[in-house]
Amino acid sequence: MTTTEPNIEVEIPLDPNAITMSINGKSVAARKGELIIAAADRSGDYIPRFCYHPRMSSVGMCRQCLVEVEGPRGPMMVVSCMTSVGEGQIVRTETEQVKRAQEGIVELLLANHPLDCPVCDKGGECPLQDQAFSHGPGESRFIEEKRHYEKPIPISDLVLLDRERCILCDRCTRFADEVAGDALIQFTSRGNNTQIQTFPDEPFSSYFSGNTVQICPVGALTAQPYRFKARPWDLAKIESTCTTCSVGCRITLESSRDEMLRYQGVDSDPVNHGWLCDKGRFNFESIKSNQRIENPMVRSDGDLVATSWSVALSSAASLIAQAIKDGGPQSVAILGGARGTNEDAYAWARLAQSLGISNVDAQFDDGLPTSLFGYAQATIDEAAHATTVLLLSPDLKEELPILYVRLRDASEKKRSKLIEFVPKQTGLTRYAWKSASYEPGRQVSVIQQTLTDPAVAAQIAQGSVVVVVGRANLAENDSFTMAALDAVLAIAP
Amino acid sequence: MSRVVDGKGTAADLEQLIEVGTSICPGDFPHASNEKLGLAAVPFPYKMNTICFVGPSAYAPVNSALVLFREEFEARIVKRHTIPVTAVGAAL
Ligand code: SF4
Ligand code: FES
Repeated sequence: MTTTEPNIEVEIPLDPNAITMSINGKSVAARKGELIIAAADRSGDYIPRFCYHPRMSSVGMCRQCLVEVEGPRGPMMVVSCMTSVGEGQIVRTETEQVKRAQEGIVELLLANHPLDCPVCDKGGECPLQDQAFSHGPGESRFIEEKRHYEKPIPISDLVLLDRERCILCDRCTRFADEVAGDALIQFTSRGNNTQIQTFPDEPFSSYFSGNTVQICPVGALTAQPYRFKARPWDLAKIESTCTTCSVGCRITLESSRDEMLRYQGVDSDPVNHGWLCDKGRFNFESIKSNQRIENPMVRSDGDLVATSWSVALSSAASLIAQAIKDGGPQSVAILGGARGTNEDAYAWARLAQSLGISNVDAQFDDGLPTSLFGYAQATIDEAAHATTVLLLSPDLKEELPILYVRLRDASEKKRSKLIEFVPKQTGLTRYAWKSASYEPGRQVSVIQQTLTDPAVAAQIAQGSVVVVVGRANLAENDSFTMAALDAVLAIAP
Repeated sequence: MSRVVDGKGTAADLEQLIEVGTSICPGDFPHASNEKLGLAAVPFPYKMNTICFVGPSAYAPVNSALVLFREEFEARIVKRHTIPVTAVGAAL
């Protein structure tokens, strides 16, 4: 037998971080530094948890995720959300001891929980409820009076806190501190009296407060607009994109009986990591606003009169036809908006084309010229992983809140250095490596000065640079912003 | 515990104390040896399930009292003049 093809052994380089471990007897491939709970999730061995959240640091507060790990002194109980995997590690999540520990924790958590599920908004999608069924003892032996608090207390205009239901998992406070960067809620007191509290005279007025409602594993935090409106199993859910700003977070629209009731964030890796800003999360209330135009209207004798679509469309068509007949297509113009979908834009552009109308215009939301499309564009993920981010933009915390969350995270985790050029302090100023303020209209000289500074130049030379451009002030002429961009690109191409 | 000491406890309460203790510290809890009870010493350290060391320490006196002086508690349960609190609740 002749072999014409040489037998080449392709050597696949071994990932130095790859390890193999065993979970419940199954062999599982994991990466160094990964947590046991995450590895078990992938292998399909669900470990109950309350405080662990993959997008936040682990604290090991609730102890629900206890598992047994084979150690030098026999099997040890460890919290799987705080312990990282190891080569050859043997993990068991279903032994008698694990079951006893998990049941014990559920029983203790429920000892002071009011069990008011029938009137609780979370009932039906509540991790405590679900896990009390799946990993709980089924009954309680505590016959004492439960702890009582005033229920619920408003901690901001949007969020209400029911301290009786709270299981002190630290998710909401960790979110406020780590992710949103405004630690306006914290634990106070100790032991049995531990409770979530705001500062005495400062409400939890965070731009991101709605997320705490979504991640609370019990019904302790509820959002004013959704309270007592529906039960989770009645909600029709559709995944979509938030249209409030250009970040475009993934959301689910949840409605019941033809009424929009809430938006929930969806964990989308490249965009919002599950977070939403309150502007986006709660703006569905405008759908019900009585100022909305619900019917087509036609102006007759100076007054708007509601009519049907067929009447409105035919009168628009005849008006346009008349205008084209009288003055030719160049006498008609179409202005498109920046907020429509691509399909909308395509449709009206087609309409213009078919009528021979060439006077069409549309612009970015903040009026920058469309020539911006000519530059290489970065995704949100690229921006949040760039070595240096230059901000020539308005206050991101106000305008693009989730981009602010991502960039803040990048700077807090020391992935990126932020350099901002701003006319006034912004939400990101605290996290910026360099913040250069300029007098409106003078940005070019400030930029040139800052970017030629040797330390800044060295930083820029280190790796990828992303520039976030926007008009810092709508009253300012867009040519300044473009000039600033040119100045940046001249120095840091 | 105060239920038992007040003479209103039941045998289940003692079990419950031990069981809650086991949720805090899995496995055998360390205690001294005792010839009278025929107990061998369980050496330190205890294993713990809690995030905080106060949990096991708070359980330590409860455990040694329950293990080493069990009859005292049982006496409070068997030879009492009051009715168990659960029954009081039911009677009202
Ligand atoms: S309010 Fe909810 S999220 Fe916050 S600590 Fe309590 S249970 Fe956890
Ligand atoms: S999920 Fe691990 S301790 Fe709460």
